[in-house]
Amino acid sequence: MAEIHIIGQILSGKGFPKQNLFCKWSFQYGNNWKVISGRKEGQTQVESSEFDDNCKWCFPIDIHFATRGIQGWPKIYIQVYHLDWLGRSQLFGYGFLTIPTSPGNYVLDCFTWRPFGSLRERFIQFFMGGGPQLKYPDLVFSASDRYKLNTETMGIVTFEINVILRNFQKFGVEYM
Amino acid sequence: MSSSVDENIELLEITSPSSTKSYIKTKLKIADNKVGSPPTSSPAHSAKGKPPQPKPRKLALATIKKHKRKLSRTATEATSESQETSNSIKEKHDDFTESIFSSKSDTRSYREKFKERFESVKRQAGKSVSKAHTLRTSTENVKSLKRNLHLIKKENEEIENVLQNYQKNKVQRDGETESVSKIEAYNFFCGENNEDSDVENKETIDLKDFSKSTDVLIAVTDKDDEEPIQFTPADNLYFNIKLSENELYWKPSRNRPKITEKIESEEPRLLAEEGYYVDEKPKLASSHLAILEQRLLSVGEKKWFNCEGELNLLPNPSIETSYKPYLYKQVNKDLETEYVSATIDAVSNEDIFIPHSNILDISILSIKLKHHPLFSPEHVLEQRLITFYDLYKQKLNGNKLERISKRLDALRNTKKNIEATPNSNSEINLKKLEDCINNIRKLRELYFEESRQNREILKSILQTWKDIKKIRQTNNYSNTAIKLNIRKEKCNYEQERRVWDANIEEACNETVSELELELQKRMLNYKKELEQWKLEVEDQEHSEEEIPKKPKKPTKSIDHDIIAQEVSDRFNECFKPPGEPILHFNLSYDNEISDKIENSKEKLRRNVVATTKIYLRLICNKMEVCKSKIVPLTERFTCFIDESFSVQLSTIPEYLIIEVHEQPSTLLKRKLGEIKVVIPPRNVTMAQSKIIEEYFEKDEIVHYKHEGVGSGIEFKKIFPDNNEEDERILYTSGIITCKTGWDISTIDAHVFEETSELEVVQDLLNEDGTINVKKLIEWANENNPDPQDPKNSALYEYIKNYEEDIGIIQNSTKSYFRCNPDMAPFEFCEPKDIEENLRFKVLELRDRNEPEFVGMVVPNRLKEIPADILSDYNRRRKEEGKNLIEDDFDYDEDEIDSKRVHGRKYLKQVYTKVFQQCRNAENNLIYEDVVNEKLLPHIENLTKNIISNILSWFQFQPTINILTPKPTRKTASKITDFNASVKIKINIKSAMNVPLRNAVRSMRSMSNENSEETTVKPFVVATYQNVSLHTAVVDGTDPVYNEELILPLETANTDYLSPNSLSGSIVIRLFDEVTITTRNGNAKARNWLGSIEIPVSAIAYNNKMEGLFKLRKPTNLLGYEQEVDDAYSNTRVSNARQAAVQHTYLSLKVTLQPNIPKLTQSMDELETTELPYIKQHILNWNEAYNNEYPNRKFSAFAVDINGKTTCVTRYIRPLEPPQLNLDRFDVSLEQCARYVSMIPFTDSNKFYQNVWLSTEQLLKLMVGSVIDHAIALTCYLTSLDLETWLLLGYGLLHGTTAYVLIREYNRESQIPLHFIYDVVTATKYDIMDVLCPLQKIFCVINEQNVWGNVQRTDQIQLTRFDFMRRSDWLPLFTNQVSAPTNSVQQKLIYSVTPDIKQLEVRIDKKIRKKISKLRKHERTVWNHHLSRAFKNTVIKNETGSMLGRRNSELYPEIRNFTSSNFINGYIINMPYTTVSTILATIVATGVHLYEGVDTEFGLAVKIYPYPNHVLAVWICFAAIISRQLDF
Repeated sequence: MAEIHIIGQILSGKGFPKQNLFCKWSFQYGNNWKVISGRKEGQTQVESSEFDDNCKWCFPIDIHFATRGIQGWPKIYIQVYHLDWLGRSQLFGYGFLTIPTSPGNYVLDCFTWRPFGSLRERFIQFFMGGGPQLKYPDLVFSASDRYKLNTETMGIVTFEINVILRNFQKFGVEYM
Repeated sequence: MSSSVDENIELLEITSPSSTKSYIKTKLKIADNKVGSPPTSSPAHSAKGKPPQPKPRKLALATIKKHKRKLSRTATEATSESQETSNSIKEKHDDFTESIFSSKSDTRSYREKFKERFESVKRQAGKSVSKAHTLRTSTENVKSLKRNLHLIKKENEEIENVLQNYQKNKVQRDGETESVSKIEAYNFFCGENNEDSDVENKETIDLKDFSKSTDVLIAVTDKDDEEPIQFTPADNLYFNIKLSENELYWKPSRNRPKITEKIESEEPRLLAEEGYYVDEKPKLASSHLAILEQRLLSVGEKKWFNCEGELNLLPNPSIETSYKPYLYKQVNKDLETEYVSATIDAVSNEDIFIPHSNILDISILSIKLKHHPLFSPEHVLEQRLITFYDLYKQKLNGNKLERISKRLDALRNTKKNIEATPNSNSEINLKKLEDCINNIRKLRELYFEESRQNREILKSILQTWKDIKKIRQTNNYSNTAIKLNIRKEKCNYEQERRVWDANIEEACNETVSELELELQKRMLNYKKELEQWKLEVEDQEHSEEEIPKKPKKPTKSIDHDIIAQEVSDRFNECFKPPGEPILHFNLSYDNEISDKIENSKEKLRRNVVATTKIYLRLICNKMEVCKSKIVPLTERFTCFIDESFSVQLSTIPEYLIIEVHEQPSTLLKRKLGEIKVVIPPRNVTMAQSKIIEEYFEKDEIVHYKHEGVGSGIEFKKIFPDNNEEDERILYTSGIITCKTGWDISTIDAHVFEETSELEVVQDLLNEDGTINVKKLIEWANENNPDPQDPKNSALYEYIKNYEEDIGIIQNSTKSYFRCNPDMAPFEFCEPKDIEENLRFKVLELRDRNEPEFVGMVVPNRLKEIPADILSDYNRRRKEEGKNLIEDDFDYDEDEIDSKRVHGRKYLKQVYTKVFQQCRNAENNLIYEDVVNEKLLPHIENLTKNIISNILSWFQFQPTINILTPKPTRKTASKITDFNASVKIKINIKSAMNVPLRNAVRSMRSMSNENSEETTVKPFVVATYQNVSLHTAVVDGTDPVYNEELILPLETANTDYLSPNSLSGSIVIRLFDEVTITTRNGNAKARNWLGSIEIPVSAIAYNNKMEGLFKLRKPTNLLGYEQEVDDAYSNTRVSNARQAAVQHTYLSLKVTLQPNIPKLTQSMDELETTELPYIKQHILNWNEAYNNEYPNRKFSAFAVDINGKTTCVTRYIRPLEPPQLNLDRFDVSLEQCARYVSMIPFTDSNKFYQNVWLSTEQLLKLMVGSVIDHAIALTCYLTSLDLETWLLLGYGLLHGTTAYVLIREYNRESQIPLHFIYDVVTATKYDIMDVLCPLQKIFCVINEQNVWGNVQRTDQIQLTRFDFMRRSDWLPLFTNQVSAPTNSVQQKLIYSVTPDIKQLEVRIDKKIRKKISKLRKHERTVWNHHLSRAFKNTVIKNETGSMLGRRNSELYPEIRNFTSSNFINGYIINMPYTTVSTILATIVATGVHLYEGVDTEFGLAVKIYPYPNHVLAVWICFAAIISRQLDF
């Protein structure tokens, strides 16, 4: 019956080829976990920076879990999208970040990638927008399958996360 | 063996490859020598002086030839033949042997060269010589002969020597050894010839050649002088070599060797049939197998074969599934990428969840009733026969008996084998034997049992058929078409008897041997025990303890006779006695059912059967989904339904229920039974699925008077004479044949590819992903995977473990079994601990915005949380659940109040429910609420100011902007800005047409100034939630204020998450300031002239409201000019002008700053009552419209009382208005409007404007929003055959609201006139009127369609109302999609309003009390004249207002009254809501504030009842100052 509070924000995204980015995020966790309060998924606003390639979202995340085991420690799954000048959105990257397991303040980088399409697809992508997406995005979580994908690196999404743990020590879980 | 000869030659060649040529040469030489030797020797003989005997030599040669032929047949015959030969032959034989010997010696001499080699091959070398015959023709070279002649001559001497020796020997051996040597000689050749026999043809050819050659040679010898050269063509040597080479190789044949060759025992044991586990063999081509087997056999390696005579092949070690995935070929479908083009709609989360539409097809083929109450006895028997026959067929097809007997035979064989093995007494063998015997015993029993069953079935069939025949005979008619054909197959008694006896004997023997074995075992045991005992006895002799008993010796008790008797009894019971014909049955249905019957009971039964019908109902999730057609019950009780149903399932249940219903013509319908059809797995299509036969039974008891046997009776009772023991009770039962499968289009391709193995796994898993062991065991029992297969061992081990643990598990409360039990220690607590934790619960509820917990601070420790924290919430939940479900509440008929209270409460609950639904939904805020898109407010303001200034400069007139509020005030307001972030700004510009004080009153010189008397001094008070602000007092009937009043809006009121946000309304009241004389001198008092109520939410939805607001004046203002009078008397010159004159207007601008977020219902997410495609259509249309016309947003969906969305057209339907007139039949338009306006209104927030009530609900609840009233009015007017629409638009006062649009035709012109009705005031406005409150039209709605306004202008006057024009009005429903037809409106039933006298009195009393209470300083004197005067006229007033007449002149009594008094007061009319609201209204007018010494008050309350508890309250309240007192 330990608890964990994750309070933080999706700070920024940098290194993406274009500006006007937004980010869909959701928490992934095991069966043992239960969301007590807070949103477990959401979408940030569209952000573009005029001066550098660092989109600052500062989108708040505040979630409170109760758990009965450390298996399935929560992770944040993000999809970064780009909103182009026609108001269309297209995928810019998938990313995945494990929440630190000890309390404290963290600034974490989540590296994102997206599927690298065939030559034809890239051609269309260049001129028409869009791009290859995973048919079943949940597969991103299983590392055993993912390595087969042909991907290209996209930018980095920075998180600032404060982790507050409670009652873990009661169950013999120690952290540094 | 010719081949072996070749082989030898080949061997030679191989050993000396270098000397091949020489070898061939020598071979040729050998041949020449050998063949050539007899002829060449002859001249030698003659030369040596030997008597030349050419003839006998010739003969001899001939005999040789002959002889050889004979010999070639068989060696043995040859010997006998040789003995038969005559003397001459004997002589010849001498020659023959001679020649042979000579040739032998020849060869021998040449062999010396190869001696060493030839020694190794010995006799076979001779065969090579014979083989050389074949080469002879090719080497018939005379030259070589000649060349060799001298060699031969040389050797002739040697031969003669040998011959002499031989003769000597011959003499010695003569008589006794001659035959032996002969045989030897024969054998020598025979060996050759025999082995050559397979090439006999060749041999004969050889012999022919041989004879030819001899002839030639003879010729040569005969004609010595002739040239002994003959040309012979070269022979193809190569061919022969090749031939020989081919014969060298051994080619195994492609036929498989016989089993007997392969095994050591006599008969193969079929392990699979004996019940052992046999691995699956890898599949090999049989030809390959055969070759392999042949090769192995040729070597004689039998160890490679197992006892079945099959090769001992290991199972295929390769695993089909790879552990390593392919890198280059993407196997995993899930990982596929898909090109998604850039989309506009970024918000959709569709990529995470894809719902499938699930269409399940069910086709029901037939119902076959196994028993039915309407069965006649014959039918019962028929069914019985069919059942037995099916069993019989099953047995026949299964052929179990034969299989068992085969296995038995196999076992017996093995037993024999074991017994036959030499060391049969070894322990292992004994063990084996024992096992074997045991197995045999078991199998034998099984065999007996099976056979017995077969026999019994046969008997039953015969018996039943006999019964049927008997019944048919006794009845003289037949009901069934069944017919049993019996075919007898005769058999041989003798043969069968033999088999029978043999079988009995065998069985006997076996039993005996079994018993013996048993005995042996027991003896062994006994011996052991005895030894043990002896030891013990010895031990105990010392210890002097009790001596244990001596074990008993088992007695030998095998009585052969008894056993034989038993066995034969058994056989008699189980098997067909010998000689009995074998019976074959065949069922046919060609018996004629007799039509004419005498039996009246039977006739009755048939009638009933003929009229009875059957249908099926398909039930899914307790709801009837489909119903099949009604099928008559046939005489055969089989109904062919043959129907297919498609069911779309939102959630997939475990099973569907098919109910069988019977519909007799006279009796009630009844359910015959139901079956559960298990929903097939997701990948099974209709084509793939199998036909299911499901059995149903219903245990009911039915008896009939007619022949029908009924149900729930024992079989015995129907057939008392039936001697069979059948305990069955006949219940209605039957079989439904059906088929289920998923619609192919709905099957997900992904699912489709899943293997069946996975399916099994899925079936076995629980919801929480653990293996359900019960299901597993079930599955294992069903599919029976081989327990000895190592692949399945894990499975069985698991089950076994489970079964061992089952005791523990059953004792514990857990009903599941974790996949990974090792994880358990890592868990902190049980899942329910988290579920039940109070703190977590509270936190969760707070997160869900439950009203009880909003903003609550939850303590960090559990113990600090009060245990009853949830009680409020739980109570509310319970109440909500209760109230919303019980729709028809019981209220006291007399209590009008209670009805209203209840209605309000109920509506509130509905609203709260909808609110909760919307709040918890996604996307409940619209963009404008979240983002304030004023980029540069300063510039905006600046430009506005500049433009307005310029405009005002052009107009040359003072503008309202000149008199700006003072700057100090502005700053003050700015400070309050921060505290109360939201504020309502009311900019009061001016008032128009304020009523003048009465002339009578003006005459009265209350004050000194005359100028004041004739006019009014109006000022405006704005009130919102106990905060009142007022403007300055400005003189005149058209005062200009230009003041801005700022009302703060509390944060609690603007929180969009609170259901009560933005509720309430701003009341703007217009007062006239008067000076009155009080005891203390002059005092200011105010006279209420009228008020305006603006709902805050109406402002909030547009943030701004501007225009001429019509002041809602009381029906009569006492003490003020009624300018209406003369205007009314005039003909209707101009309606607009008249209205303008009649009414008072305030020019206001109300704004709300800043923008506050508002909840919006997303109709997409709420449940709907519409069909999915209609819903989608409406949503699409609506979205398109709203995007195009953001200023005219509306929703074509309304939320009904259950929180479900409903298309708005379904709210409109002609409804009968209440009968308001006693004399006239037709209810007028005005009456309807009046009636509707007298139904109380809610003051709820505009959020709920999409929650629409049907008229029935409105009348029941007695409360509703403006829109609900408008709907009701529209429905009423539609029923009056008026062209009526519900108009959604934006109007002053109510903001976004609904009006009723009516189209009327002027008699003179064909131009239709359009009017709108405001339901609140029941007033009719011309659409062309400038003062019409309507400002924007969104859409018009009627029963058939919704037309969205797509005209460019918002101006009402310019709006065209031809709905057929697509360019002006966009219809929602077109030819493709038509409006849903079923209206939500129910037929109205109006209840009778109870007596309202008491209520009148109560209200009266309450008001008086209240007023007295409020007037603390003065005594309140009540004048009773007024009320009396008032009451007399009020009825007329009511009827007048019903007809829409202004009727101020109808107060003669009051006029009379006023002539003698100064009256300041009013007569108001309002719908009855509660007493307290009436009180509040009265108090707010402030009449009671008159503090004059002589002031009296007049109060009169009158209630006019309408049907269905609608009450119109008339109140006259005035302050009266007596005229006499003044003067």
